[in-house]
Amino acid sequence: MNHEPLPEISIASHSMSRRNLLRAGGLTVTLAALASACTDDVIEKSPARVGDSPAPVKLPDAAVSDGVLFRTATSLHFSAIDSHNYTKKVGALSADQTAIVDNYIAANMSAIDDLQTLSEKAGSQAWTCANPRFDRVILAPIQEHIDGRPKTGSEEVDVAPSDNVTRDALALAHAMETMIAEMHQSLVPQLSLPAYRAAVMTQSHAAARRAAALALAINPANVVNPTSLKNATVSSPTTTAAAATTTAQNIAAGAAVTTTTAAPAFDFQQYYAISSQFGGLSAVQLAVGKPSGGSQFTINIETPSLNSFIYDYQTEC
Amino acid sequence: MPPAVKAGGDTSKGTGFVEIKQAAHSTTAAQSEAGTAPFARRRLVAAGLSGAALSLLPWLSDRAGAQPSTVPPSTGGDTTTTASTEPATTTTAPPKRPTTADIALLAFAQTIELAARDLYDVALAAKVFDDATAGDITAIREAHEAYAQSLSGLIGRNAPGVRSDKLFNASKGDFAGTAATVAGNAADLENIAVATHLDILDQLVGIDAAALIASILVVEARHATVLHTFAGASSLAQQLASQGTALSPSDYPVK
Repeated sequence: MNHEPLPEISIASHSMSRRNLLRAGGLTVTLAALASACTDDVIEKSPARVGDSPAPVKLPDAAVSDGVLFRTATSLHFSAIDSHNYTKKVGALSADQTAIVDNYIAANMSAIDDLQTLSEKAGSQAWTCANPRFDRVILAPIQEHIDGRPKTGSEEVDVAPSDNVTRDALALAHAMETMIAEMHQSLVPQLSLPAYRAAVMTQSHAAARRAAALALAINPANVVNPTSLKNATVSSPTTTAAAATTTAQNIAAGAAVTTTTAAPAFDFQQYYAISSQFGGLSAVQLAVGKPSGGSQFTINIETPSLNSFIYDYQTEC
Repeated sequence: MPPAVKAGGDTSKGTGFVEIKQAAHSTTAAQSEAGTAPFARRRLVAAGLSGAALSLLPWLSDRAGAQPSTVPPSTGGDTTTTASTEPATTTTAPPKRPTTADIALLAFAQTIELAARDLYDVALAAKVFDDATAGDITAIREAHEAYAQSLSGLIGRNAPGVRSDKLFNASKGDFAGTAATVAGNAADLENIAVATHLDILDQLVGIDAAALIASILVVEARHATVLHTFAGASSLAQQLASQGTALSPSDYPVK
């Protein structure tokens, strides 16, 4: 075994320096941790930021107040007026029908005045134009299916114009008044004061009357929804003709022989003056446009909710 | 085999430390002394660095608790946003269940609805309507009964369950005659009911009761329009007529 001492190398003199460096480093870290732990609690919770970065944009406070509800209701009345004007423009209405729609436009303007006053009374700014989200999500697609338009995106065919603009335009007017009545009713549980609830229901029953009168103008026979009549144990009158038989099979011939006799009549949507026993809050279903493939374009018109409220931070139309 | 010797033969420090093997083979004092000079310098540098690091600690801790930027937040191009229109939030929610005062109002409403139902029974018994119209009148009559029943659900065991005799006796004469006359008077009754419910709604505190009354009055308004039409309304204004004086519990007390 070789016991010769190893030759001295310079690293021997460096061993202590590394040790000291490690000690000093460890001591520094320890002291730094101790000092950090003993510093005062930091009140500001924002993390430290290094470098130049844009300040985060604080989202506006979107509280649903009484004023917001009144502003939203105001906006929907403006949308209803826009819709009624569209009905007059494209509906090829008779003089009587035009008079009805004009009356409804004036009634909605009167409602707007009342609601703007209520908005200010509730501490908000009066809203002065239509509901942008409602117009974009609801009214625009309806108008496209009445006017017709070229296909877009993944659509395979163009949207055909309505085959009966008067029918569809009046249906739209009826749906808007029904929606207005439901909207005000839906605000009742959301408003904080009894006086405000009574105020919106004053608008609600007026709109309900308008919807009922228009339903009778569209079809005087549609008074009570057949479901309500059945609940009242009254036999409901038939309002639509039964579909004709479309196929006939000659069994005696041995082989099935199918003969088309007549196309079935399309069941267009019916509107009733008294549509239910209690005022409903469900979506107003509206079918418009030219029937295609046995169906019509149908849209659910919902009462406004969080996405379509006109919040107080929205100050411009 | 000779025992291992600590590096540099220095026993005043590093006790307990395991030294690297090469250090155990230092043999000359000269070499050992030569190593102490840089060692002292290193200690000095290390101590200086440690002191510098310690002196920086307060500054570093301040950075850790940096205050938020004083730069105002960008509006992101949204010109509709203002900070000055903070809405006042409601801090207390109205109760769902009807209060004691609400119960009294709901009981009154129930007596009105039952009186209306019985008045329609009078009209139907007179058989002045054709079949189709009688069916519609029956549906309206059933609706009033449903309203009374739903009010019972909110009132509970103390629901009166009886009509307002005063209203019934005062109005039953109006429900006999021609179909148009009865329909016209029925429309007036519906408008009175709407006005009464609006008056009640103006006083109700509980949300459930308010929602129920709202769902009733909005359909009674439709009843009125239909009945005006049955009565032969010749104009839209007549169809939409809504004049009606609210009944009060003091005039029509609940027994």
